[in-house]
Amino acid sequence: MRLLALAVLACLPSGEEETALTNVRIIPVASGEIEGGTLVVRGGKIAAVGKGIRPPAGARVVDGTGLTVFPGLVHPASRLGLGEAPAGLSGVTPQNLVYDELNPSLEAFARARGTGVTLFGVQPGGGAVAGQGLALKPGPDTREGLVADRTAFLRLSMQSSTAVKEALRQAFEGGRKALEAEKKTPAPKPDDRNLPLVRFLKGEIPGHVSIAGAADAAHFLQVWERFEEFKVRIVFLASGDSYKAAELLGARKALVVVRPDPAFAPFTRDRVNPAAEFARAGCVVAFAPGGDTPEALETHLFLASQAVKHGLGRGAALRALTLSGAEALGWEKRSGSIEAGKDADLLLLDGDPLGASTRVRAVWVDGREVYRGD
Amino acid sequence: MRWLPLLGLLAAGAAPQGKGAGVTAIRAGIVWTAAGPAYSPGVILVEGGRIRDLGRLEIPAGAELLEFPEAWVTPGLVDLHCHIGGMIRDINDMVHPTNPELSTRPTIDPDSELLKDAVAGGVTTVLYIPGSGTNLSGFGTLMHTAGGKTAAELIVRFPGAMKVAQAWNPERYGGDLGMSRMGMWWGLRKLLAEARSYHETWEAFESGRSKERPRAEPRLELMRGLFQRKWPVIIHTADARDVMGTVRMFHDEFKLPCIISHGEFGGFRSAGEIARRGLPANIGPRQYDWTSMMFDGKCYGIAAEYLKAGVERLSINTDSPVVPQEELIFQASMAARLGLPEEAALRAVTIEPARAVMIDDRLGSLEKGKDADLVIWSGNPLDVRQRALLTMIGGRIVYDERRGRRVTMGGGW
Amino acid sequence: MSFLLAVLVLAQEPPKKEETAPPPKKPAYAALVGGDVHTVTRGVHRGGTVLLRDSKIHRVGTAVELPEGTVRIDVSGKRVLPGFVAVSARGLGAGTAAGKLADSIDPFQESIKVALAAGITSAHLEAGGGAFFGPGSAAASNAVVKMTYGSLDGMVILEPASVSLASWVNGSSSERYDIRENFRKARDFIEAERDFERRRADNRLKPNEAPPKAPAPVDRYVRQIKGEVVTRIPAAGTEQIRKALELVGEFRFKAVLTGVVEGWTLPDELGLARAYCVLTPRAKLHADRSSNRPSGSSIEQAAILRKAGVKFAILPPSPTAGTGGIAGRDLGYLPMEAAFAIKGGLDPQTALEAITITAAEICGVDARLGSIEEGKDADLVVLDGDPFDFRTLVDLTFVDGKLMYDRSKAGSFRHLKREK
Repeated sequence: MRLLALAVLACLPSGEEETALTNVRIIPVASGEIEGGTLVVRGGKIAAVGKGIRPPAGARVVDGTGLTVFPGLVHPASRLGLGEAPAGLSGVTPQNLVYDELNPSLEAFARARGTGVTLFGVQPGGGAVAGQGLALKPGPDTREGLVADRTAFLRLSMQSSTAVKEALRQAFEGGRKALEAEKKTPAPKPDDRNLPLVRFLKGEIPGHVSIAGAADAAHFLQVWERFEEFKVRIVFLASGDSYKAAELLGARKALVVVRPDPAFAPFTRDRVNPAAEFARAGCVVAFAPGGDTPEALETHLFLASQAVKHGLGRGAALRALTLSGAEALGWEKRSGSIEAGKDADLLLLDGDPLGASTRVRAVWVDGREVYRGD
Repeated sequence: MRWLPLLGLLAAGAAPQGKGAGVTAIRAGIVWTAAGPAYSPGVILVEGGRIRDLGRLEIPAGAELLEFPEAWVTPGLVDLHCHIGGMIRDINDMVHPTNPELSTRPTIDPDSELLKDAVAGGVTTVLYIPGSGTNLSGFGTLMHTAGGKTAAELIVRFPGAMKVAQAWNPERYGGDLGMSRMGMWWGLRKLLAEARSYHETWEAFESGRSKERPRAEPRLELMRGLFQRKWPVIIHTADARDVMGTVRMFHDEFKLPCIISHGEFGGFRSAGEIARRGLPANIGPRQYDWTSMMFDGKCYGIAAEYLKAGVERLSINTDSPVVPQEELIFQASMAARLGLPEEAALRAVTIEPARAVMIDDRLGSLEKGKDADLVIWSGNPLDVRQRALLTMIGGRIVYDERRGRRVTMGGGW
Repeated sequence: MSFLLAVLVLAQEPPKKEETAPPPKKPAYAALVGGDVHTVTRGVHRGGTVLLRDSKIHRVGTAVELPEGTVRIDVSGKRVLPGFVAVSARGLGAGTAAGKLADSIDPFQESIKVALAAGITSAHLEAGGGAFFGPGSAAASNAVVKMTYGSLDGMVILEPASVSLASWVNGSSSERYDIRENFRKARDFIEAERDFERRRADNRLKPNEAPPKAPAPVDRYVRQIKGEVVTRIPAAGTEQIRKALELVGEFRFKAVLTGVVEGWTLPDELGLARAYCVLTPRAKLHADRSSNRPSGSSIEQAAILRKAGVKFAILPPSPTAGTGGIAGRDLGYLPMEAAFAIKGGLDPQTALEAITITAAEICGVDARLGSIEEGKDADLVVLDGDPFDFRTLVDLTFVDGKLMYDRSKAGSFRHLKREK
């Protein structure tokens, strides 16, 4: 089997031709798992996926027996190539772009290719309204090549304090005023500072809110009460004891990004599975690894399997690794699952994604192989 | 028939005249003796500083009667872990890790306000011990809290017990061996072996088996009493590991009478071992363990857990001034609240500590012949709403609310 | 449930057609039946009923008709009391950030659960630095907070709850001068306000005359004199109490003397001044043997003050809800501190008031809390015995009509059995 798989990989394409991968196990995430299926990739996109599909004429046909195809992983709360984000500021700088800080010549980006993560949401550091984050795909080594979307989302950093809550209120208020001003004729162009907030309030880009605990969740929702009229996508980057606010967040079907690691229930040594708590309460859960080092990224799948072991449903876990993360970046139509029309961001595995000894054999981004395992 | 009353008078005159002279009789609603069932109501006769008799008795003519129809009477309370007999700065001398030559006797302050507070709370006897700043801080003094003008007059027995601290506090101090448990255990073992050898050498000489007079070493003299089982060693412990280490070394290996003190922070997980050996445990000042060691969300009553594990020789302390000395009975109330049966809670501050410190021939219960150390309470002493009305030590009234209520109660932190 | 958010769909979908206004929510009824209801202010109903409607007490009595759909909670054999009020507290979710306590409080902090298990439903929570600030300044921050674990809704009900005048007692003479000056200005301002109102009523205002405005810090003092905010003055010893009463007597504001230890030496002065006190019966201060005036602490203080008509609340030696192991000295055992006052001769009714209604008065929230009366918040505690019996445990605790603690389900004290 091993020899055959290697032979298969030796034939895999560099992205331009049409390729059909046959006899391969496919986990699309958005739909049921397929045994002995066929995947057709064309022009960097998934052209067709299913069972019993005849490979198109002229396509390079590769037998993928023994392999499992899974969507590339999504890491929505990354600081790849950047240092630890400065904390504890209440400044409002929506115009800041993390894009300006990116340094693609760093080793981190090259090493990112083999980790299985095909879509990174890179977070700006800063205060209450820190700025705009970007969406990045590993592979190329130029900034333009790496960055798929320079202004993918707005980043907010919550803190339970008067200063931060006031700063957020004022920022949202400014955005609202700018939005209303747009309706006038002639409409003034929103300035650099308000434009990201306007885009967020309009629902064009998601807003990421980091919460260090359940209290932050409660206080943020208190601030947001006045702005409920806006139909937005808020993504909660949750850590600490945030899982205690699972009901609060689940009531609004919030999208929560969380590490797969367990926590301990207070006063006890009982494990709490934050992901399972959020899922049970009705949240949409996305996973983010605990860091951006190769070690953190390489153990991510294992920790996800532990979350399943301790009570998270398999389907929820697989989605948390992929499609929910894409949703957090506003990319759910472009990536995060194996469906026709989506980017061919794929992992070729030699086993189940949640299997303890599974290895990543190849990583494709936009239909091009960026990594081959040994 | 007019001479009948005369006969009566004669009869009265003819009755033993001195029967009640010099006797104090206490009649109370409930006499809780710590030695069998309570008398309800009951009478205690006190003479010459001792209990002459008690039960459902007639009051002898001529006796001074203290009538408290609603009251409870209990033995005077005993606390084996007291640091307020003198000045707080005097309880630790922290240079050497082991100090068998030191004792609290010279530090006793008979005029201490804190002792006065204690007696107003019904505490009549305390084991006033040095602190836990060193591995072996010295010898404690068993003393009354009142009833004497000088320190000597307060002393019940010296030494009361040897004090050893097995965990946590001694680890604060570096400089000499004993900062880690390795050092502590070794230092103690070495000293115990030395003291045992000293004792055996002297015993051989005293019994005539050996003709050579050994050298006297004042440092080790008092430790002989441990091997003679005249007084115990009281050991401050923390978690289960310390409790077990203590039990192995002092009881199994050196066969000394010992008292396991504190035993908090999950120490009750070793309680079965203490029970098997019939050793006494002295619980406090913490009465519950919730988040430090057990980690299952339950708030455990520490004393109750020890009792459940079979440790019947259970006493409770205040570790005064951590909990004010006069709140010893309140500590028993809290232990009862957290699951210890009330009978066991009252025993834990009377007969059990007296037994543990080997003074139960004199103190700890209301029995014929024992010292008249007792407390008259306005009701069930465990009921926080009730109070001590009168405290008696050796037959003398040392606190009496009717002569002006003691105005202080409380403090600590 | 008082906390309800409309469920929002957070997705990039076009907004739906505008809906008509949602129908008014039907009230939710619940009733505690069969227990002895100790209202504190209106006597006891044996085998009575407390009917709750949403977050409020709707009816109290022995023959209360229950509307259809009322959730019945059987508390036969138990006592129903108002939730206890901690007149001073630390921890309990207070955050460390600067600014308003309401913005940094953590409703998920576990000490809140400890307080609920002890029957405490609200507290005057203090956060931040020490009590000593400039003349007339508010404490670092304080607020009356309800133990609404898990939700910010209805949690902070009054902020700031009190102003501290510690420097009146502890500060320099120039600080005291400033305080007096500010009070005088406040008094003058109130007079000016009244004059303005009189002239306005008589149409004698000057053209374009605006109502007078008090500049800071005088505006705070105005609120203090008007009783809109409570003034707390730490006053332990006789002289400190006298000094505090001097100020209260001169400017007649709602004052609470805290940490009172030697109040028993001048009960009538306290009674005449109508100042509230906060007492810790177990606070210990030995008498000054060198003086022949009465001094030191007394376990009888509460009883003595009661006889002189002084109103007080009771606080344990440690104002935190701890888990460290020492039993009986902190908020986990609030009724026990009141039991010590009973030991010192206080009657049980006043002892109960000291941890319920009078505590609520001191915090300025007695319109809503502190007793079981129709219209008040449904903050209730169900006990398995007399609150001052050392064996009594809390069985149920309600805040705003929600069951926040159930001993039979929570892990902490479920295992304790009662020998009766």
